[in-house]
Amino acid sequence: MIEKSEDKKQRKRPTIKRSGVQAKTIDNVARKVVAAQAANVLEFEQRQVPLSKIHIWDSQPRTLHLTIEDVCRGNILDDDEHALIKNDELLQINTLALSIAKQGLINSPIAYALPGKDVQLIGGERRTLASIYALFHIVPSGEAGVEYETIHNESPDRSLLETERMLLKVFPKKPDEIELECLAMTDNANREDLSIPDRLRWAIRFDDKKQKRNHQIEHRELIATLGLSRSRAFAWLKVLNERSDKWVSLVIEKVCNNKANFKKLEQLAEANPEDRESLYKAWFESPAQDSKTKIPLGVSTNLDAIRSLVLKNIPEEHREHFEKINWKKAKNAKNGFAEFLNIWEKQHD
Amino acid sequence: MYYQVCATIKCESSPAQDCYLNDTEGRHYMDENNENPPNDYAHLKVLTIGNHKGGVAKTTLSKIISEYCVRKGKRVLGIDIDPQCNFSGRFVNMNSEDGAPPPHPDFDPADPAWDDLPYAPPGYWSISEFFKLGYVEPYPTDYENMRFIPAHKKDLTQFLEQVEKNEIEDVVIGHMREMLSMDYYQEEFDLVIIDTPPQTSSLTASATRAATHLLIPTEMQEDSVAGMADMAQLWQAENQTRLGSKLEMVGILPTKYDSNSASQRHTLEALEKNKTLGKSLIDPPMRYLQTYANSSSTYANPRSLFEMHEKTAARKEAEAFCEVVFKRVFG
Repeated sequence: MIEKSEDKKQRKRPTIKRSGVQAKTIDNVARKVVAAQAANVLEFEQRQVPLSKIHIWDSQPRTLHLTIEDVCRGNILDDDEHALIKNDELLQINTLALSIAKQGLINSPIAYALPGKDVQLIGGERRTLASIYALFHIVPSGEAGVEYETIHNESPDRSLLETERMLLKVFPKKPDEIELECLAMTDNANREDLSIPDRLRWAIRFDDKKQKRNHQIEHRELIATLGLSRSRAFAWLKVLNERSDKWVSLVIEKVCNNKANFKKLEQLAEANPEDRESLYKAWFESPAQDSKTKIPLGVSTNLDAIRSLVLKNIPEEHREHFEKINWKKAKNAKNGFAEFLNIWEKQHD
Repeated sequence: MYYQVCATIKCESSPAQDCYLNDTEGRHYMDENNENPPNDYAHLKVLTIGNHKGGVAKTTLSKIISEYCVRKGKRVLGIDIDPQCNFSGRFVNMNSEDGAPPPHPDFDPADPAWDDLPYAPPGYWSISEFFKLGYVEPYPTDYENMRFIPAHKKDLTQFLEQVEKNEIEDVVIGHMREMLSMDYYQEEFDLVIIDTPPQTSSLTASATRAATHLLIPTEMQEDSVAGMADMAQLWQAENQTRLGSKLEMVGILPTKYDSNSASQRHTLEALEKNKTLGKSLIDPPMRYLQTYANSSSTYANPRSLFEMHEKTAARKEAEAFCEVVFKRVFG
């Protein structure tokens, strides 16, 4: 009996399971089919685009008053309603143009293709304007130690815009509205001069677009686009979620106009709704204190640009003194520029 | 009507920027810099039948669907890009020795237009000329409203080797769509059916680029189902490059289905239950019937499955799944 059962055991062969195709194979196919159905054109291509074919984006996250016309001309007309701001912007463009002339354009602007050969910028307006400025107003310097200098070209040859090309990252298809906003902000988020008002305006516009599609803005999106930390992203989210409140919306307006700081807006959004009115009145409707408004002049690391700017605008009698300053030292450049501003102020008072 | 290319695909270089097309009156179909290639066809539908696994009845299906659509009154162009030339054999009397197409019925070496061609093929046209020269004369078939561009076993194999050697896959991939965008194809045909080889090559990618619709046949076994994943990957890559209409999947057609096999039944049930694939499955499946093989052979009699008796199981079944495909392609 024992021998018989052992014999049976030996004769038992492994059987093939008739269960069909494995579940994981089917799941793998299903995953790839879903990915194929949802696939979109996302990749951009590097394209050399004539400068005349590049359209500046009016709704870009960073407020920019300068026009291509201003940049080609190289100065701001006295009767321009935004003359003060534009002059400041042109100074920044000049700095950037000198840097582009010296080091080239490291990070290409991004755009999407329009019908024909035109492209619409999504990010990199300043870089584009600076490239145009460099084309007309930046020339190699004859002075030792200074590679490029700014000149005022009174009759720029506009036909160069047709022939000179710039390397852009071009999306062949216009990205979706939400995607477009994200791309534009991501391109700008790490800029030091992207102000809080610009960020806030953008976040509100982004939130509006999401709401139109019945979607809620998420803290992850704010982290990815505005470059905020997790805790800061939740603070911003609170502001956005409370912006229908009368007092919050009033402070948002003030922040957007540089009349209040964002910290106050955060505090107001965090406060109980019934306390907001009193907070608002305490902050903004109490008797005004006499104070001088300080206006920051921005930060520049391009000392060559500051030197060029000063030497170009300083009256002849002071020129020799300013030429002797060692502009390569940040401290000297800072003092020299402050001295220049004093002279400039007295001259124009 | 002959269509000429100003600069054809040459294996020495990658002339993508020069590859623009003129008809005999000199009209350009693409702008000179090839910057605005046509994206969508006006009305033409292009159905590519593909699965990277061989033996899943791609060719049999190509034949059956072509015949069904012809009988439905559509003007059909069949294109065979499989070096095995089996699809070609059904509609064109291929040379059995070297797998070359027969001389074209309109071939006339005395025709002065022949002298204008940069290279005169030896009396026949095949898909190889379509890629190499940029023009081809489709063959007439037994059906008045169907024409055919056959494969050429030797030429096509050599052409693929040259493409690989000269790294001009990108040019080849875009070529078929550019050709089918020409007025001749847009005006003369309603549907193009492309039978693909069971492998990943620039020709399969070219057929996918040219397609508006994709049909994936699969057997109810592991390798065939896994082959669909590769096809889906190609489909995804294609949609990531499309500016116009996306490539649509007509569906997944279970082929050679044997309901007596427990494992095949389980596989079909699993596919039906899958949320994504279940929606794409075409019902009824194509069963494992000898009639399909018999009717699709070169010397079949009757010539078509649809000429068999109305109650023939294979005919009834084919009419049912072809109707699903037809509706999904033409709406």
